[in-house]
Amino acid sequence: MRDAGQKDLLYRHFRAQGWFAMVEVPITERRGGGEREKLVTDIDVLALRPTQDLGWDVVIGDCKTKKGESPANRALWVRALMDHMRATRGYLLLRREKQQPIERDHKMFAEGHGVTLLEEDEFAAFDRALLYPAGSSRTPFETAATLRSFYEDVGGRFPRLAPLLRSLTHTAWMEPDPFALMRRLVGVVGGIHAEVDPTHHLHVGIILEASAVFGVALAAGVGRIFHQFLGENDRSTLEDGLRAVVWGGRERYEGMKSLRAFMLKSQGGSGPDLRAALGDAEEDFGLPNWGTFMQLVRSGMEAPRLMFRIPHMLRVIAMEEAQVLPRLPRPWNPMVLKLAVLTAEYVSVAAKLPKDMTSRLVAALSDRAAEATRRGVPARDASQGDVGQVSLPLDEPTGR
Amino acid sequence: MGNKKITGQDLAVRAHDIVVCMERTRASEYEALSTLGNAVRLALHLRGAPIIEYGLLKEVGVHILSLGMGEVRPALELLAEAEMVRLNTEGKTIKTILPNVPYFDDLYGKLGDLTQAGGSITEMEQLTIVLAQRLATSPVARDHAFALGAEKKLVERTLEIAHDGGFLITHRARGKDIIMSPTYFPENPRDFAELVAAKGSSVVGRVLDLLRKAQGFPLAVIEMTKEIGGTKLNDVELAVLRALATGGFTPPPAIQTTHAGTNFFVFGPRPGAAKLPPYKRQIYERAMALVASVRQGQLLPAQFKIRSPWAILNKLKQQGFIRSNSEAWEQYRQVATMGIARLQPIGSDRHRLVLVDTPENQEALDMAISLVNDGGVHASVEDDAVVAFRQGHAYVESILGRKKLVNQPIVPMSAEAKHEIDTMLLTVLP
Repeated sequence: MRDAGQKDLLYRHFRAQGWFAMVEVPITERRGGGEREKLVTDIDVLALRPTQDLGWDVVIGDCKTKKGESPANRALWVRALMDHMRATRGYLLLRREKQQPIERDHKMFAEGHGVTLLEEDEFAAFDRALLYPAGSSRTPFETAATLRSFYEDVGGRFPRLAPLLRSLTHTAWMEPDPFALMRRLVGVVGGIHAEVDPTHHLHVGIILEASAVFGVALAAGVGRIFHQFLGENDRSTLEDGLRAVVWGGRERYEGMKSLRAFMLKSQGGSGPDLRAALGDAEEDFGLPNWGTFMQLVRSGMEAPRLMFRIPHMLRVIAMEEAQVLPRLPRPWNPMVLKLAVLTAEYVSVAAKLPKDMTSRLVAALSDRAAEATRRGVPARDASQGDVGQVSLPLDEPTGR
Repeated sequence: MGNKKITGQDLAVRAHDIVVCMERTRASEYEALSTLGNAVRLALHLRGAPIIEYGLLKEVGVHILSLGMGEVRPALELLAEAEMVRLNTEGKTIKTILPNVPYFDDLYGKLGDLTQAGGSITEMEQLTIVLAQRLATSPVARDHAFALGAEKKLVERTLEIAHDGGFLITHRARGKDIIMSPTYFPENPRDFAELVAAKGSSVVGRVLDLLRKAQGFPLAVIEMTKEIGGTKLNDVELAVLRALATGGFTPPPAIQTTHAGTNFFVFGPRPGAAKLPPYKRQIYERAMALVASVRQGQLLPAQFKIRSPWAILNKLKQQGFIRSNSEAWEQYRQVATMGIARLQPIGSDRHRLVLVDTPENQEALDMAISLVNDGGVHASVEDDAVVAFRQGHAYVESILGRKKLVNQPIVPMSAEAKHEIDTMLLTVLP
């Protein structure tokens, strides 16, 4: 991996701006429409940038160490990748010989396609200008290398967790619908529930990382619901709207409900037992632990912009708990911390993980709340409120 | 004691009413009741709040929400038992509180049920709740309190505390002492006392109860059908209704139409648990006018009947207008005269009602929606406390700068308790 250093630069830069990122995300295609997926290519750094209207923009980061590569050709390749991923911006980092800088025309051409062309040597100036004045180099949170090492460690030692790792590094990033992602992720975590050991630090870390990715979808979902329902306090109104959105529209929801009823019936139930089962099915027909999910979404609607900071917070805590990042005193925002606790708790309970794991996650986050308040951190920190255009990392000290 | 019908929800609602009314006054006889009322008060303000340091919560609780110094922790512990907050503790010290107060579940019922199950409610607290529950429906003669089945001394002491605590007032009318709740009957207490003395509390209570569920019904329709919302009224109840519409109470709004003549629309006590400040009187009158106009369309239409007054008012709130129709001119003329909305001509005889979008009119519209959609529990929250929980210490300190130090009056102890203490001082202590 000759371009690991470049990936690290881009990851840090994205991360310091409050974007949630992943390195080396594979793009696959089903071979001939068959069952087996074939790796087509990968995205060096894929980032999600919070938007002003409570959504995420996809940003592509591409790295190239081959010095003879034509910048314009590579920019076109990135543009195609951006279209595939519905990305709004691309960053292309190239290593060049001193005597062979990127031609101005190529930069103009790339910019016309929404791609920023950068030479490796000029990246530091670019980084410092956007994260004025010190840039992202000394920010004390996880790096691409930390993240890679964490995933390799978990994958190497616990092969049975592979379905979850695959989801977190690959399929989750391909899912454009936040509610579909939430449904699937809860299913995937639930699928490995029997493998989860609450006493193992890496397991605690991976469940927090799963909660971080769930938090990405939750933030977008809350944003969508917020625009429709604002501060709705009537249960049936919000429930009705939420169920329809979760299943991708009212028509689809009604169809899925009928299908579920049919499946329950076809499994041989009849009489009062079936009616009770169907009643329960209707009651729970949303996401698992529907009441808790409603409470979580409604809590998020109190401060929907802060929801976009949960993934970063959970990832840092995941790395700390997994012991791949030193545990540092950080000025956690108490509202983000609360929403993060509720998110991680929901994932654990909905996926039916051992109760000890839920308590372990809650304790890990609550301890940090106690530490933060003991240090007298103000409720409003400097980064609050400007998601999308911040020059400070979200919820972490800058280290400057 | 006639408390069989007191549910957990009733218990919590009344306990909350009582602690809100009592403010900083305390009675040593109320312990479980105070804890429950304070827990409800905290829960209402903690809903949606971030993780809070215990010290900050205590400051807000004591200085803004008027809890006693030693009352914050028991209230929090009750909330923790109900899983509405999570306490992060080190030994016995509470460090932080993670609020997770339900938005949709019955907060009152859950806390009330827990307190009932704990079995710590004393006989006097039960009597207080029963009395508060009765007074929420209608004022009653003072003698009624003595007919609830409790000992005379206990009733007298309860009435004394209630009076000193500010959740009961007495008015003399027709040679009788009439007691009433200033929370539920903040306006026209003398007129209500007169009505209860003349007609009896059960009759007045029943009529008020029916009116609460059918705010703004036309008097003529009630008189003609002798019923409110499907419930039959007898002649005495009709007389009470006429008295409410014509006595010293809030003058009912009237609407004049060519097809139904002039109609008066009657209102029961205003929903909500707080006295309306004088400057909001005009807003409430606007709300009544809005309700009267949609009731006109619902119950006395010329041709096109309104099926859901609530839906119409909500439409006005959400889209800022109600679609044009041929009856709008007469139906909403009063609303337009009061400056709540304007009637925009569409074609020859149709008009569209367009909201005049001011904060006062928005508030009037909210009140109108609550009037036609009543039945729920209305709880008021202190804006200062809600903001303080979100903003932290600096905000609390700035508020405290504007407030006096906590001064906590205590209801004087009963003669009996005083006697017991005197005896102990005389006989036991060296």
